[in-house]
Amino acid sequence: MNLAQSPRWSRRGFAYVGLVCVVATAAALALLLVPAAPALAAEGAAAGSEEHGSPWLDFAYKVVNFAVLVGLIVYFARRPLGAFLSGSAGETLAAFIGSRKAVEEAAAELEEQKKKLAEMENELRRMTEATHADAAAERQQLIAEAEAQAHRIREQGSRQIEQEMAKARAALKMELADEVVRLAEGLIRARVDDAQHTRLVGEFIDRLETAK
Amino acid sequence: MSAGVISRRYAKALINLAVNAGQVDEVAAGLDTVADAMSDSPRLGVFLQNAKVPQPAKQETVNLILQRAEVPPLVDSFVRFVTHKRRIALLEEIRQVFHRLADERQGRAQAEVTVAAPVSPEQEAALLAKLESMTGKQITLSVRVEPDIIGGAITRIGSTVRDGSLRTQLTNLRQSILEG
Repeated sequence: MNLAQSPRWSRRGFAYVGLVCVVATAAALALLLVPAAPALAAEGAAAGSEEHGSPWLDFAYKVVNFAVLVGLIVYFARRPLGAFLSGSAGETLAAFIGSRKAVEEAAAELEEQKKKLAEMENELRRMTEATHADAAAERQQLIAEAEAQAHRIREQGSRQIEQEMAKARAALKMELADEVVRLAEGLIRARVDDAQHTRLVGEFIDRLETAK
Repeated sequence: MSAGVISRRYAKALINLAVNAGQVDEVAAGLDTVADAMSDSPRLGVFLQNAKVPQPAKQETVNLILQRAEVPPLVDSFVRFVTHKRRIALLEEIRQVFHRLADERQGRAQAEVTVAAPVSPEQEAALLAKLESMTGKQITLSVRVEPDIIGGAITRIGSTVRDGSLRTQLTNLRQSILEG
Protein backbone atom coordinates (compact mmCIF):
# COMPACT_ATOMS: atom_id res chain seq x y z
CA MET A 1 0.00 0.00 0.00
CA ASN A 2 1.28 3.50 -0.82
CA LEU A 3 2.25 5.59 2.19
CA ALA A 4 0.18 8.59 1.00
CA GLN A 5 -2.91 6.40 0.76
CA SER A 6 -2.77 5.50 4.48
CA PRO A 7 -5.73 7.16 6.34
CA ARG A 8 -3.46 8.36 9.07
CA TRP A 9 -1.02 9.93 6.67
CA SER A 10 -3.71 11.43 4.43
CA ARG A 11 -5.22 13.38 7.28
CA ARG A 12 -2.56 13.99 9.89
CA GLY A 13 0.31 14.16 7.54
CA PHE A 14 -1.07 16.95 5.48
CA ALA A 15 -2.20 18.88 8.57
CA TYR A 16 1.26 18.55 9.99
CA VAL A 17 2.88 19.76 6.82
CA GLY A 18 0.50 22.73 6.60
CA LEU A 19 1.06 23.74 10.20
CA VAL A 20 4.78 23.55 9.77
CA CYS A 21 4.52 25.79 6.71
CA VAL A 22 2.44 28.42 8.59
CA VAL A 23 4.73 28.42 11.61
CA ALA A 24 7.77 28.63 9.38
CA THR A 25 6.30 31.62 7.50
CA ALA A 26 5.44 33.42 10.74
CA ALA A 27 8.87 32.77 12.13
CA ALA A 28 10.46 34.12 8.97
CA LEU A 29 8.46 37.28 9.13
CA ALA A 30 9.34 37.76 12.77
CA LEU A 31 13.01 37.29 12.06
CA LEU A 32 12.77 39.86 9.29
CA LEU A 33 10.78 42.41 11.25
CA VAL A 34 12.53 42.34 14.66
CA PRO A 35 16.03 43.23 13.43
CA ALA A 36 14.51 45.80 11.12
CA ALA A 37 12.76 47.69 13.94
CA PRO A 38 15.70 50.04 14.90
CA ALA A 39 16.33 50.73 11.25
CA LEU A 40 12.71 51.55 10.70
CA ALA A 41 12.83 53.84 13.74
CA ALA A 42 15.86 55.67 12.45
CA GLU A 43 14.45 55.79 9.00
CA GLY A 44 11.18 57.10 10.40
CA ALA A 45 12.96 59.77 12.34
CA ALA A 46 14.82 60.88 9.25
CA ALA A 47 11.82 60.73 7.03
CA GLY A 48 9.53 62.31 9.59
CA SER A 49 10.84 65.53 8.61
CA GLU A 50 10.16 64.93 5.01
CA GLU A 51 6.84 62.84 5.02
CA HIS A 52 3.68 62.52 6.98
CA GLY A 53 3.05 59.34 9.16
CA SER A 54 5.03 57.62 11.89
CA PRO A 55 7.23 54.55 11.26
CA TRP A 56 6.59 53.39 14.81
CA LEU A 57 2.95 53.28 14.04
CA ASP A 58 3.61 51.21 11.01
CA PHE A 59 5.79 48.87 13.04
CA ALA A 60 3.11 48.60 15.68
CA TYR A 61 0.60 47.83 13.03
CA LYS A 62 2.78 45.03 11.70
CA VAL A 63 3.35 43.67 15.18
CA VAL A 64 -0.36 43.62 15.82
CA ASN A 65 -0.91 42.03 12.51
CA PHE A 66 1.64 39.38 13.32
CA ALA A 67 0.10 38.82 16.71
CA VAL A 68 -3.29 38.36 15.12
CA LEU A 69 -1.78 35.93 12.64
CA VAL A 70 -0.12 34.01 15.39
CA GLY A 71 -3.34 34.03 17.35
CA LEU A 72 -5.29 32.68 14.41
CA ILE A 73 -2.70 30.01 13.84
CA VAL A 74 -2.73 29.04 17.48
CA TYR A 75 -6.50 29.11 17.55
CA PHE A 76 -6.97 26.97 14.51
CA ALA A 77 -3.93 24.74 14.71
CA ARG A 78 -3.82 24.06 18.41
CA ARG A 79 -6.32 21.25 18.46
CA PRO A 80 -5.18 19.27 15.39
CA LEU A 81 -1.57 19.90 16.27
CA GLY A 82 -2.14 18.73 19.83
CA ALA A 83 -4.07 15.76 18.64
CA PHE A 84 -1.37 15.00 16.15
CA LEU A 85 1.35 15.37 18.71
CA SER A 86 -0.53 13.44 21.32
CA GLY A 87 -1.37 10.67 18.79
CA SER A 88 2.11 10.56 17.49
CA ALA A 89 3.55 10.40 20.97
CA GLY A 90 1.15 7.58 21.92
CA GLU A 91 1.95 5.73 18.84
CA THR A 92 5.60 6.33 19.39
CA LEU A 93 5.26 5.23 22.99
CA ALA A 94 3.23 2.17 21.95
CA ALA A 95 5.70 1.50 19.21
CA PHE A 96 8.50 1.93 21.70
CA ILE A 97 6.79 -0.33 24.19
CA GLY A 98 5.99 -2.74 21.40
CA SER A 99 9.53 -2.62 20.19
CA ARG A 100 10.81 -3.18 23.69
CA LYS A 101 8.43 -6.10 24.16
CA ALA A 102 9.42 -7.44 20.76
CA VAL A 103 13.05 -7.10 21.74
CA GLU A 104 12.33 -8.89 25.02
CA GLU A 105 10.39 -11.55 23.18
CA ALA A 106 13.15 -11.83 20.64
CA ALA A 107 15.65 -12.07 23.48
CA ALA A 108 13.50 -14.71 25.15
CA GLU A 109 13.13 -16.52 21.86
CA LEU A 110 16.85 -16.25 21.38
CA GLU A 111 17.40 -17.68 24.85
CA GLU A 112 14.91 -20.43 24.09
CA GLN A 113 16.61 -21.19 20.83
CA LYS A 114 20.00 -21.15 22.56
CA LYS A 115 18.61 -23.53 25.17
CA LYS A 116 17.16 -25.74 22.49
CA LEU A 117 20.41 -25.58 20.59
CA ALA A 118 22.26 -26.58 23.72
CA GLU A 119 19.81 -29.40 24.30
CA MET A 120 20.19 -30.48 20.71
CA GLU A 121 23.95 -30.37 21.07
CA ASN A 122 23.68 -32.43 24.23
CA GLU A 123 21.31 -34.83 22.50
CA LEU A 124 23.64 -34.99 19.53
CA ARG A 125 26.55 -35.69 21.84
CA ARG A 126 24.58 -38.38 23.63
CA MET A 127 23.55 -39.88 20.32
CA THR A 128 27.11 -39.75 19.09
CA GLU A 129 28.35 -41.39 22.27
CA ALA A 130 25.59 -43.97 22.12
CA THR A 131 26.39 -44.63 18.47
CA HIS A 132 30.05 -45.02 19.31
CA ALA A 133 29.17 -47.33 22.18
CA ASP A 134 26.85 -49.38 19.97
CA ALA A 135 29.47 -49.52 17.27
CA ALA A 136 32.07 -50.65 19.78
CA ALA A 137 29.71 -53.28 21.17
CA GLU A 138 28.83 -54.41 17.66
CA ARG A 139 32.49 -54.58 16.81
CA GLN A 140 33.21 -56.63 19.91
CA GLN A 141 30.32 -58.93 19.12
CA LEU A 142 31.47 -59.35 15.53
CA ILE A 143 34.98 -60.06 16.71
CA ALA A 144 33.69 -62.59 19.24
CA GLU A 145 31.50 -64.26 16.63
CA ALA A 146 34.33 -64.32 14.13
CA GLU A 147 36.64 -65.85 16.73
CA ALA A 148 34.00 -68.43 17.66
CA GLN A 149 33.43 -69.21 14.00
CA ALA A 150 37.16 -69.51 13.42
CA HIS A 151 37.38 -71.80 16.45
CA ARG A 152 34.56 -73.94 15.12
CA ILE A 153 36.16 -74.07 11.69
CA ARG A 154 39.50 -75.07 13.23
CA GLU A 155 37.85 -77.75 15.34
CA GLN A 156 35.83 -79.00 12.42
CA GLY A 157 38.93 -79.04 10.29
CA SER A 158 40.80 -80.92 12.97
CA ARG A 159 37.98 -83.42 13.30
CA GLN A 160 37.81 -83.84 9.55
CA ILE A 161 41.56 -84.35 9.39
CA GLU A 162 41.39 -86.88 12.21
CA GLN A 163 38.49 -88.66 10.55
CA GLU A 164 40.25 -88.70 7.22
CA MET A 165 43.42 -89.98 8.85
CA ALA A 166 41.45 -92.64 10.72
CA LYS A 167 39.73 -93.64 7.51
CA ALA A 168 43.04 -93.69 5.69
CA ARG A 169 44.60 -95.80 8.47
CA ALA A 170 41.63 -98.17 8.45
CA ALA A 171 41.73 -98.44 4.67
CA LEU A 172 45.48 -99.03 4.74
CA LYS A 173 45.13 -101.61 7.49
CA MET A 174 42.31 -103.33 5.63
CA GLU A 175 44.33 -103.35 2.45
CA LEU A 176 47.30 -104.73 4.36
CA ALA A 177 45.16 -107.41 6.02
CA ASP A 178 43.57 -108.39 2.72
CA GLU A 179 46.97 -108.60 1.10
CA VAL A 180 48.39 -110.68 3.96
CA VAL A 181 45.41 -113.05 3.81
CA ARG A 182 45.62 -113.24 0.02
CA LEU A 183 49.33 -114.08 0.16
CA ALA A 184 48.83 -116.57 2.99
CA GLU A 185 45.96 -118.24 1.20
CA GLY A 186 48.06 -118.52 -1.94
CA LEU A 187 50.92 -120.09 -0.02
CA ILE A 188 48.63 -122.48 1.83
CA ARG A 189 46.76 -123.55 -1.28
CA ALA A 190 50.09 -124.19 -2.99
CA ARG A 191 51.31 -126.38 -0.17
CA VAL A 192 48.13 -128.21 0.90
CA ASP A 193 47.82 -131.48 -0.98
CA ASP A 194 45.77 -134.58 -0.22
CA ALA A 195 48.17 -135.66 2.45
CA GLN A 196 47.98 -132.27 4.07
CA HIS A 197 44.16 -132.39 3.87
CA THR A 198 44.15 -135.74 5.59
CA ARG A 199 46.55 -134.48 8.25
CA LEU A 200 44.46 -131.32 8.86
CA VAL A 201 41.22 -133.33 9.20
CA GLY A 202 42.94 -135.75 11.53
CA GLU A 203 44.18 -132.91 13.71
CA PHE A 204 40.67 -131.46 13.73
CA ILE A 205 39.24 -134.81 14.86
CA ASP A 206 41.88 -135.09 17.56
CA ARG A 207 41.07 -131.70 19.06
CA LEU A 208 37.35 -131.75 18.25
CA GLU A 209 36.35 -131.60 21.89
CA THR A 210 38.25 -128.36 22.39
CA ALA A 211 37.46 -126.85 19.01
CA LYS A 212 35.19 -123.82 18.90
CA MET B 1 4.40 -114.77 16.73
CA SER B 2 7.32 -115.79 14.52
CA ALA B 3 7.15 -118.61 12.00
CA GLY B 4 9.86 -120.52 13.90
CA VAL B 5 7.85 -120.56 17.11
CA ILE B 6 4.69 -121.62 15.27
CA SER B 7 6.52 -124.40 13.43
CA ARG B 8 8.04 -125.64 16.67
CA ARG B 9 4.62 -125.78 18.30
CA TYR B 10 3.11 -127.80 15.47
CA ALA B 11 6.15 -130.11 15.36
CA LYS B 12 6.00 -130.71 19.12
CA ALA B 13 2.32 -131.54 18.91
CA LEU B 14 2.97 -133.99 16.09
CA ILE B 15 5.92 -135.69 17.80
CA ASN B 16 3.85 -136.18 20.95
CA LEU B 17 1.08 -137.78 18.91
CA ALA B 18 3.63 -139.94 17.05
CA VAL B 19 5.35 -141.10 20.24
CA ASN B 20 2.01 -141.97 21.83
CA ALA B 21 1.05 -143.90 18.72
CA GLY B 22 4.46 -145.55 18.53
CA GLN B 23 4.82 -144.34 14.95
CA VAL B 24 7.65 -141.85 15.10
CA ASP B 25 9.53 -143.24 12.12
CA GLU B 26 6.35 -143.80 10.09
CA VAL B 27 5.14 -140.28 10.75
CA ALA B 28 8.57 -138.89 9.89
CA ALA B 29 8.56 -140.79 6.60
CA GLY B 30 5.02 -139.69 5.75
CA LEU B 31 5.85 -136.10 6.60
CA ASP B 32 8.89 -136.33 4.34
CA THR B 33 6.72 -137.66 1.50
CA VAL B 34 4.24 -134.80 1.66
CA ALA B 35 6.87 -132.12 2.18
CA ASP B 36 9.01 -133.47 -0.66
CA ALA B 37 5.98 -133.53 -2.96
CA MET B 38 5.34 -129.89 -2.22
CA SER B 39 8.94 -128.77 -2.43
CA ASP B 40 9.58 -130.72 -5.65
CA SER B 41 7.03 -128.58 -7.48
CA PRO B 42 7.86 -124.87 -7.21
CA ARG B 43 4.52 -123.97 -8.79
CA LEU B 44 2.71 -125.99 -6.13
CA GLY B 45 4.63 -124.21 -3.40
CA VAL B 46 3.79 -120.81 -4.85
CA PHE B 47 0.17 -121.86 -5.22
CA LEU B 48 -0.15 -122.98 -1.59
CA GLN B 49 1.69 -119.90 -0.25
CA ASN B 50 -0.31 -117.41 -2.32
CA ALA B 51 -2.68 -115.54 -0.01
CA LYS B 52 -4.96 -114.65 -2.94
CA VAL B 53 -5.73 -118.32 -3.65
CA PRO B 54 -9.03 -119.25 -1.98
CA GLN B 55 -8.69 -121.56 0.98
CA PRO B 56 -11.05 -124.26 -0.48
CA ALA B 57 -8.83 -124.50 -3.56
CA LYS B 58 -5.75 -125.03 -1.39
CA GLN B 59 -7.61 -127.61 0.70
CA GLU B 60 -8.70 -129.50 -2.38
CA THR B 61 -5.16 -129.55 -3.76
CA VAL B 62 -3.73 -130.81 -0.49
CA ASN B 63 -6.42 -133.53 -0.41
CA LEU B 64 -5.32 -134.73 -3.85
CA ILE B 65 -1.67 -134.85 -2.73
CA LEU B 66 -2.58 -136.81 0.39
CA GLN B 67 -4.67 -139.30 -1.59
CA ARG B 68 -1.75 -140.06 -3.88
CA ALA B 69 0.94 -140.04 -1.17
CA GLU B 70 -0.53 -142.87 0.90
CA VAL B 71 0.69 -141.46 4.19
CA PRO B 72 -0.26 -142.69 7.68
CA PRO B 73 -3.61 -141.42 8.99
CA LEU B 74 -1.83 -139.31 11.59
CA VAL B 75 0.12 -137.46 8.91
CA ASP B 76 -3.00 -137.15 6.74
CA SER B 77 -4.97 -135.55 9.57
CA PHE B 78 -2.09 -133.35 10.58
CA VAL B 79 -1.53 -131.94 7.07
CA ARG B 80 -5.25 -131.32 6.60
CA PHE B 81 -5.33 -129.54 9.95
CA VAL B 82 -2.30 -127.39 9.08
CA THR B 83 -3.91 -126.49 5.78
CA HIS B 84 -7.14 -125.60 7.51
CA LYS B 85 -5.18 -123.32 9.85
CA ARG B 86 -3.60 -121.64 6.80
CA ARG B 87 -0.11 -122.79 7.92
CA ILE B 88 0.67 -125.16 5.06
CA ALA B 89 3.50 -122.85 3.96
CA LEU B 90 5.32 -123.81 7.17
CA LEU B 91 5.26 -127.54 6.43
CA GLU B 92 8.93 -127.71 5.41
CA GLU B 93 10.07 -126.01 8.60
CA ILE B 94 7.72 -128.21 10.64
CA ARG B 95 9.32 -131.25 9.09
CA GLN B 96 12.84 -130.11 10.03
CA VAL B 97 11.85 -129.44 13.62
CA PHE B 98 9.98 -132.73 13.79
CA HIS B 99 13.07 -134.67 12.67
CA ARG B 100 15.20 -132.91 15.24
CA LEU B 101 12.70 -133.60 17.98
CA ALA B 102 12.36 -137.19 16.82
CA ASP B 103 16.11 -137.65 16.87
CA GLU B 104 16.27 -136.18 20.36
CA ARG B 105 13.49 -138.44 21.59
CA GLN B 106 15.24 -141.47 20.13
CA GLY B 107 18.76 -140.44 21.12
CA ARG B 108 19.80 -139.55 17.59
CA ALA B 109 21.39 -136.47 16.05
CA GLN B 110 22.15 -135.21 12.56
CA ALA B 111 25.71 -134.05 12.05
CA GLU B 112 26.98 -132.20 8.99
CA VAL B 113 30.69 -132.13 8.27
CA THR B 114 32.21 -129.71 5.78
CA VAL B 115 35.68 -130.49 4.41
CA ALA B 116 37.86 -128.98 1.70
CA ALA B 117 38.51 -132.34 0.01
CA PRO B 118 36.89 -135.79 0.26
CA VAL B 119 37.88 -137.67 3.38
CA SER B 120 38.73 -141.31 3.61
CA PRO B 121 36.20 -143.81 5.09
CA GLU B 122 38.56 -144.32 7.99
CA GLN B 123 38.57 -140.63 8.84
CA GLU B 124 34.79 -140.46 8.42
CA ALA B 125 34.37 -143.37 10.82
CA ALA B 126 36.79 -141.79 13.26
CA LEU B 127 34.88 -138.54 13.07
CA LEU B 128 31.55 -140.30 13.58
CA ALA B 129 32.86 -142.15 16.59
CA LYS B 130 34.26 -138.96 18.02
CA LEU B 131 30.97 -137.10 17.59
CA GLU B 132 28.94 -139.95 19.11
CA SER B 133 31.26 -140.10 22.08
CA MET B 134 30.97 -136.37 22.52
CA THR B 135 27.18 -136.14 22.26
CA GLY B 136 26.23 -139.54 23.61
CA LYS B 137 23.80 -139.86 20.70
CA GLN B 138 23.55 -141.93 17.59
CA ILE B 139 24.91 -139.65 14.91
CA THR B 140 23.81 -139.59 11.31
CA LEU B 141 26.71 -138.03 9.50
CA SER B 142 26.53 -136.16 6.21
CA VAL B 143 29.75 -134.98 4.57
CA ARG B 144 29.86 -131.91 2.35
CA VAL B 145 32.93 -130.93 0.33
CA GLU B 146 33.58 -127.18 0.14
CA PRO B 147 37.01 -126.27 -1.32
CA ASP B 148 36.65 -122.65 -0.19
CA ILE B 149 37.46 -123.63 3.40
CA ILE B 150 40.99 -124.47 2.09
CA GLY B 151 41.70 -127.14 4.69
CA GLY B 152 40.52 -128.66 7.99
CA ALA B 153 36.85 -129.30 8.72
CA ILE B 154 33.65 -127.81 10.17
CA THR B 155 31.03 -129.82 12.06
CA ARG B 156 27.46 -128.76 12.78
CA ILE B 157 25.12 -130.63 15.11
CA GLY B 158 21.90 -128.72 15.52
CA SER B 159 22.99 -125.21 16.39
CA THR B 160 26.42 -126.25 17.65
CA VAL B 161 29.27 -125.50 15.24
CA ARG B 162 32.92 -126.46 15.63
CA ASP B 163 35.11 -124.75 13.06
CA GLY B 164 38.64 -126.04 12.37
CA SER B 165 38.93 -124.74 8.81
CA LEU B 166 41.90 -122.81 7.44
CA ARG B 167 39.47 -120.30 5.96
CA THR B 168 38.27 -119.34 9.43
CA GLN B 169 41.86 -119.16 10.69
CA LEU B 170 42.71 -116.76 7.88
CA THR B 171 39.63 -114.72 8.69
CA ASN B 172 40.73 -114.56 12.33
CA LEU B 173 44.20 -113.51 11.18
CA ARG B 174 42.71 -110.72 9.09
CA GLN B 175 40.56 -109.56 12.01
CA SER B 176 43.54 -109.50 14.37
CA ILE B 177 45.47 -107.36 11.88
CA LEU B 178 42.55 -104.93 11.61
CA GLU B 179 42.18 -104.69 15.38
CA GLY B 180 45.89 -104.45 16.08
